[in-house]
Amino acid sequence: MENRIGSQLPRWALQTVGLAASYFIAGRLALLLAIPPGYAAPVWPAAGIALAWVLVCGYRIWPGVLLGSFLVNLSISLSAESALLSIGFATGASLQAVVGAYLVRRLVGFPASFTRVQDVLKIMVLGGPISCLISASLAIVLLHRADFLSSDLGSINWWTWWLGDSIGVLLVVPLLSAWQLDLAKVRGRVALPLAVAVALTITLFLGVRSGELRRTQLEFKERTDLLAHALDKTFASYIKVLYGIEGLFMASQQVERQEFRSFVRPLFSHLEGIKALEWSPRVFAGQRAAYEEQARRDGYPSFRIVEFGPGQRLIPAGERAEYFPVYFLEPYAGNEAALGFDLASNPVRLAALQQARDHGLPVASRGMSLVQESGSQDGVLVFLPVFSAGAGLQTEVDRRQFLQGFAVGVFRVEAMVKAAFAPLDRRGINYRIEDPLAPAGERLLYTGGLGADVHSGDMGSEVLLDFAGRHWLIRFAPTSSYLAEHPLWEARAVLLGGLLFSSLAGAFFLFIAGRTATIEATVRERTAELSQANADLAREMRERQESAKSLRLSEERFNLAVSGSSDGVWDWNILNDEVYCSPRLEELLGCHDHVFDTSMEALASRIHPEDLERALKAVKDHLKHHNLYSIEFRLRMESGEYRWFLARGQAIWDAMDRPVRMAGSLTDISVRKRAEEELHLANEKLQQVDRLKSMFIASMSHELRTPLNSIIGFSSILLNEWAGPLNDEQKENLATVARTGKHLLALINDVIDVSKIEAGQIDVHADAFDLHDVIDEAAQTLIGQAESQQLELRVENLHHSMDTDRLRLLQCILNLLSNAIKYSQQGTVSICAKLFQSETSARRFVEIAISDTGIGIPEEDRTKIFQPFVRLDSQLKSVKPGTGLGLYLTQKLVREVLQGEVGFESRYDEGSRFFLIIPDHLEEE
Amino acid sequence: MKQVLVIEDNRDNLRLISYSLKRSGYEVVAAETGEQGVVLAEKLRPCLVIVDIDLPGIDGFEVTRRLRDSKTCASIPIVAITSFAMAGDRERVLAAGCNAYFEKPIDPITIMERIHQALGMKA
Repeated sequence: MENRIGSQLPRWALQTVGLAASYFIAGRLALLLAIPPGYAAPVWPAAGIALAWVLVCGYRIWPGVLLGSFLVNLSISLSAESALLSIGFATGASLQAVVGAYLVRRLVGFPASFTRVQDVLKIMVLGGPISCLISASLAIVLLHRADFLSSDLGSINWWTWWLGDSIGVLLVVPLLSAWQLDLAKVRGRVALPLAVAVALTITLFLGVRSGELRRTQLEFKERTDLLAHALDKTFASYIKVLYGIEGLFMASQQVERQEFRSFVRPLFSHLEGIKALEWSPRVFAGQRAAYEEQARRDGYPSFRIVEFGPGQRLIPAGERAEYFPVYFLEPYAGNEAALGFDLASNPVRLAALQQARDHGLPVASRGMSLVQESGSQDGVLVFLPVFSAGAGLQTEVDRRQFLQGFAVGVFRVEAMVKAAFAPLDRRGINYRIEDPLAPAGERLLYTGGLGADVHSGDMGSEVLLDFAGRHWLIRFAPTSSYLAEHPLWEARAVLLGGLLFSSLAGAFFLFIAGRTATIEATVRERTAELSQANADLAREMRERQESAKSLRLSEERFNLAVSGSSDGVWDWNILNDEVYCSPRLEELLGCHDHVFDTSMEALASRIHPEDLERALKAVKDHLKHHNLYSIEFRLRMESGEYRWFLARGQAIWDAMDRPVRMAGSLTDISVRKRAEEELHLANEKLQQVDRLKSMFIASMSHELRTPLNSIIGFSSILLNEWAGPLNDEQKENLATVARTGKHLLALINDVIDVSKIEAGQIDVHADAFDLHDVIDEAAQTLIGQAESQQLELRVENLHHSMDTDRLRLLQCILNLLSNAIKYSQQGTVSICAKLFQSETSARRFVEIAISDTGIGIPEEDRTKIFQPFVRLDSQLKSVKPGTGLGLYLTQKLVREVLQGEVGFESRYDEGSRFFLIIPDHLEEE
Repeated sequence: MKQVLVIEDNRDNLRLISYSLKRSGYEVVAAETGEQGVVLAEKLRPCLVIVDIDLPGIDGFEVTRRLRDSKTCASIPIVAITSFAMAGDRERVLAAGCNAYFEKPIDPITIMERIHQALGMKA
């Protein structure tokens, strides 16, 4: 047992590891064929490999699938979450392989006859599309649960998973089948075309995949270029607004607040990205009071030129040579706080202003958050310097001299972008606008669904746009749904179609190869049969020639033999119904002188009416079914008397199995028949006598025992002194009466048992019981007797459930044990039970051995010890009562009831050891 | 005095059992056939019935069954007398509804043990 486990464990482990390794390798190879950007392999031969392993090596190697699948999935991305998912996928893959194998074994059988195309197709369908529902469905449920469907793995959907697994299985099945066919030729014929087809498919797939990928990238790039262009145009149109304001100031000497308002107001309605438009004049220190006064007159009574003081509170601007206050501000509502703010008070703004002034170009500020919560720097200020009209502006010095002020635009990035993209199709495109030169953390200007850290992948694109002197980076990336909608159908179709074709081609070649192999085998077989038939024919012809020669000889011998025996011979030509009867036959029937009617009809009329039907049937059975023809029946003699005959014969049949001739003999068996009848009668009489004997014993036993009951019972009453006190002599005499009465009863019981056994009438009552209880009961019964002889009774007991005749077993143990006690004068009597397994069968046996330290059995008595009515001569014989039947009965009971054997070992004067060995349960005879 | 009904066709056995019972202070009523025994039991309602299994006419099993089916005697303890030679009697006797049994040859001491055992079971 241990050996078997020992040799099987490494095999199982090897197979499991082999499965895991091949699954892993097949999985990694399949991932090379993955279609970007997801990780899903469009075809998954590992599923087929798993099914093949489980089919070939059995269900118990499923952990190999689990391990292989888990490792492949884990190798794609290593994290706790993906480990959990991988366990899920691996469970699905294992379950799928086991269910697939079960379905194939159950509905087709495995190893199947792969030469039947239906079987191969059935295996392909059951192992492929049907069982592959499991893994795909489980995986999708898991992905859905893990909210993974929306991310990169999103391109894995149920359909592609299922299709990949199915094609994987379909590819492997023809190979597996070819392998199982175990014909080297078939393997080559299937594997080679399949390998070529797969190689071609993969080459084609790789070409189409890279082409298709490039085309998809280009298509995406084209669309993002359109978006970038629209954005560029929109930005320009916002900057143009500022040039419009510049125009207004250049065109007139003095621009009133009301004039500014009327000029800019129409712009808000069609440029939604404008948050505010401002005019920020250059105010020298001396003009400050006049400007403030003018603004108050214009309707802003609290107007002052202000700057940020400590704690971000607005305070009157400090003394400076010049100010650039926000003087005109449209719309005022929503931007109140900005009015009067000196842009030059903020060093960053001042730098921007100076840059714009010195270059004479619009300059944008860094992004700033207009809405606190947005998290992005979605607002931007653009400053356009306005110079005195007609001034020559050749150098920076000129510009500084003639600067009038700044047209300022406050723009919202989001609104600008949305307006720019509104007319365009940007489905499936995520984007993000950043200012790469801004300090880290303040770069994001606006995001349309694209995170900062997401790698845009092979299909992403970037464009750098100029916005009023700043370079804004626009990054585009396809959304996962875009990827899902553009799953490189052509490449996928090429791969799946090609592999499906390869698989079907494999199955086809398998079928052809299997057919060819079968036909070749059949041809070989038929050729062998044919040459055998030729040899047979030649031999038959030789034999014919020889037999013709020997026929004459044998005929002569036959005639001699027939004339020598007392049998009559007949020969019946069935075709013309003529019967030849030998003279001896006529003699047997008592026809001596007159002509004997030899038609079959006449012969049949001689058969005794009681035997006629039987006799005719025997002939019919022989002629029709070739049964042996040998039958006994009575025939009427010429004298009218009937005699018993034994008829034997043999027919000859033609090629069409029609009987043409039948010949045989008739033997007069009347003497034997009479003897048989007499024997039968004698036998019946004997059985009657036997029944009488049994009845006699049954009634005698009752009649003998009844008076004994009284003898034993009343002597017990007297001995117990219930009827009055006894003297010692009376007691001793009564004890003798009681003892001999019991002895007589035991003798009668034994005689009855023996006669029952000899008559085969003993009833066997099989019971379920514990061996321990029986041995215990025997020991308890006799312990008093042992103690009265100062003998030690040692018991080595055993718990074992038995199913045999409890009463008879107890009787046998009691017999042996009481013998042991009876014939031991000192020392120990021990009873010991042991269990052992038969070496030749599955049966188990118990041995119950009873050893004593008694007188032993002399050599010369050993052969007769189990014979009935034998009591060995010893000095104990006279004092110990015994029937002489105990061992005989025990042996009978052990052999005929308990189906066991009894035996002994003994040394004269040292002791004996009797043992019985019986099966622990009875078997039906 | 407590009445015990003994159904036993063998006079000697009957005397042996009666002797033992009387010595222990029971009054003994005897019946020689099963039918008689059932009639007497229903009439007298003894505190105990001792019945031999081997009876002419209806046997001890049948007597036990009839007493167990009877309204008045169903709860009377019954002790059966069996013979050793009949294997399997023990189970049949207890299954038929007897409370105890003893085997022939009858040992007076065993009789009294069984009777006390049967009466004790009722109490």
